[in-house]
Amino acid sequence: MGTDARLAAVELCDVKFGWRNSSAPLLSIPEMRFEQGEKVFLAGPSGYGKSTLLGLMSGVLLPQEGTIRVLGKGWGEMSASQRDRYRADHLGVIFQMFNLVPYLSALENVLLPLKFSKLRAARLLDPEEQARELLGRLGIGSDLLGRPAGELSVGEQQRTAAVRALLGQPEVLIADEPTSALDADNRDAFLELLIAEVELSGATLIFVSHDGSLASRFDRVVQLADFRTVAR
Amino acid sequence: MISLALKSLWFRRGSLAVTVVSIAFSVALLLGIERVRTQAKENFAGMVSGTDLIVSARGNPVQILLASIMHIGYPASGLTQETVQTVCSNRNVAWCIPIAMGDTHRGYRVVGTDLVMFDKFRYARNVGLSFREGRRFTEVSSAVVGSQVAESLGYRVGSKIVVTHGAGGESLIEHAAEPFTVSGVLAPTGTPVDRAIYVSMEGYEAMHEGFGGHANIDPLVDPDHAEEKSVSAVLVGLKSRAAVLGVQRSFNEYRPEALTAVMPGDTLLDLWQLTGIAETALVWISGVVVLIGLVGITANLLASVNERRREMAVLRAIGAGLPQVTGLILGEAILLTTVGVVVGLVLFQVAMFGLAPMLRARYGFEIAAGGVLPGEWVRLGWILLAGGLVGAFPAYRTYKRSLSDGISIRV
Ligand SMILES: Nc1ncnc2c1ncn2[C@@H]1O[C@H](COP(=O)(O)OP(=O)(O)OP(=O)(O)O)[C@@H](O)[C@H]1O
Ligand SMILES: [Mg+2]
Repeated sequence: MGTDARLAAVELCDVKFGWRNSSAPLLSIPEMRFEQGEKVFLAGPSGYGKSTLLGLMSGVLLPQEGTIRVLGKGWGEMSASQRDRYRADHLGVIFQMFNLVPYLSALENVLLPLKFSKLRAARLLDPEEQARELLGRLGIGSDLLGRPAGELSVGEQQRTAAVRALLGQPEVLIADEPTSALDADNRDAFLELLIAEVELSGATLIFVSHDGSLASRFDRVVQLADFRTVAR
Repeated sequence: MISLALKSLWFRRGSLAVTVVSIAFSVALLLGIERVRTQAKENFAGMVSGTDLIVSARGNPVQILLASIMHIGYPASGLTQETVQTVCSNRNVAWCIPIAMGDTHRGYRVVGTDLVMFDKFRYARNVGLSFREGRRFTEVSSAVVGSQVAESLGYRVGSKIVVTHGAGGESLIEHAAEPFTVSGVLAPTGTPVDRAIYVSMEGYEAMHEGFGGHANIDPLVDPDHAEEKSVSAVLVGLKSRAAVLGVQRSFNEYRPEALTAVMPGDTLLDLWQLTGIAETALVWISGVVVLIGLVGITANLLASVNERRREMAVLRAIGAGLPQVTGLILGEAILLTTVGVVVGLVLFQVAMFGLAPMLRARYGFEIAAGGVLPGEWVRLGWILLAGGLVGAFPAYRTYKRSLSDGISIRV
C-alpha cells in the first residue's frame, strides 16, 4: 500500500481489539482501507462491533494490537491531547440520535467543532454565514436556528448533526446509523442530502447501518461479519 | 469551553439553585454558630478583664463568679465589715470594690457598692465606666442605672426608684419608704453592668434598716450580724498581677471567716469546661450541616453526570479532550461551592446585623457583626477545598465513563 500515491483516508493494519483483555478479541482486522473521497457502507449484524470499530477509527478507543492511521497518521503515535485535536481537525461524526448539545441552539451546535479545531475554522471565511447556508440547504430554516436543539424534531436534529460534521470540510465523515431514528421518507431525504454534500466537499464517508436497502447508494460495502473472530 | 459550561449551568439553573442555597445556608449556620460561640467567650472574659480576684464567703468559685459578675444567682452568705477591711488593706491590693446584692427593681438587680467602682472597674480591653447622662451617686438616696435599665424602664436623671426586697417578683415586700433618685445613667458596656442599678453601700443598708435584715440572712435567727454582713463580695485589683497567687492563698487561709478568693480568668476556664460538651455538640452539628450541603452537591453532580452522559460523548466526538470534559464537572463543583460560600457569607452578615441589636438588648451580649474573622476564613477555605474534593468524585466518574463510552452514545 505504501506505493500508492494517494494517502488512505483511514487504514487499519493487523488490528485486534477486545473490550476486556481476558476474553477473545471482538475485532480482528488484518487489513482494511478507505480511500479519500470514497463512500463506504459498513454492514454487520447488531453486536458485531460496528460502533466499536468507529470508536477505533476515530481514535477514542485504541486497539490492543496493530495500527490505525487516518490520513497517514497513526493514533498510537499521538498523545491523548494530540488525538483530540487531530480528531477535531479531520473527522466529522454523526450518531444515531442525541447528536446535539440540548441547551445550545442549532447554530451554536453547528459551530461548536470550530472551537476545538482552528484548522477547520480557518477554512471558513465567515463560519456563521456558511453554517447558515449549509443548514439552509439541508432544510433547517433560519426560524429554527436560534431555538435550543432539544426542541427540534429528530429529523431536524439529524440534519443539524450532518451540518456540524460537514462544516469546515473535515476529510473523513463517520456516521453511526444516522438514519435509524427516522421514518422511510425522512431517511431517504436525509441520505440524499448527506451524499450530495459529501460529494461536494470530497470527503470520505464511512456509513454504518444494518439497513441493507441503503447499500446501493454507496461505492462499496464492507461486511464486518467477515472480520469477526468467531469465539465464545 | 467556559461559555459552554456557563450555558450548561444556566440550562440546569433550577436544581443548581437549590444546591447553592443548601450550601449557603449551611455555611451561614456554621459561621453563625462559630461567631456566637467565640464572641460569647470573649464577652464573658471582657466582663472581668480588670479584676484580679473576687473575694466572697466560702463557696464554689464558678457560683461566686456567676453571682458577683454575671448577676446569675446569689453568693451563699455575706462578709463581715472586718473581713472587707482586711481584704482591702492587704498591702498588695491596689483597689477594692465591695458589692452588696440581694434586691431587685422590676427585674433588674440593685447593687450596693462604693464610688471606687466608677474609677476602677474595668471591662473589655481595659475600658472604664462612663456616664451617658448625669453623674455618680453623691447622696445616700441617689442611684446610678445601667444603660439598658434606663432604656427599658424609661429612667432619666431625677426618676424615682422603689426597690423590692429579694430577687423575685411582685409578691415581695417593697421598701416603699426609701425611694432612690437617679443621679446618673451609665453608657452601654455590653456587660451585666448595663442591667444593674447601683446605689451607695450606705443607701443599700439604709434601705434595709426599717426592715432590719440582709437578703441572705434571716433577721430572726441572726439579728446581730444583719447589719454587718451586707457585703456579698469584694472585687479586688492588685498592684502587681504577679502577686495574685500569694494573695489568693492568704485570703483563702484567712482565719476569722472562711473565704474563697476566685481568679476570674481561671474560673472562666472551669466554666468553659462545664459548657464544653454543649459547645462541642454545636461544632459537630454545624460541621454535619456543611457535610449535608456537600453531599447535596455531590448528589446533584452525580445526577447531572448521568443526565449528561450523551452530551459528554458528543463533546468527545467533536474534539473535546478528557481533561476538558472532566474539568467541566470539577469546575462546576468548585463554582457551585464558591457561589454557595459567597451567598452564605452574605446571608451570615445580614443575619448578624439583624441579630446583633436583639442580642444586645435582650441578653446584653455584644457581638461583632461585620467582617470575617481570621478563624472563619480558615473554615471557608476548608469548605471550598471540600467542595473541590467532592467534585472530584463525579468528575472521575465522567472520566472513566468517557474513556469506556468513547464516542458511542448510550441511550
Ligand atoms: N463500553 C463497552 N464496554 C464493554 N463492552 C462493550 C462496550 N461497548 C460495546 N461493548 C460490547 O462490544 C460488542 C459490540 O458492540 P457494538 O456497540 O460495537 O456493536 P454494534 O455492531 O454497533 O451493534 P449495533 O448494531 O446494535 O449498534 C457488544 O457485544 C457489546 O456488548
Ligand atoms: Mg452500534
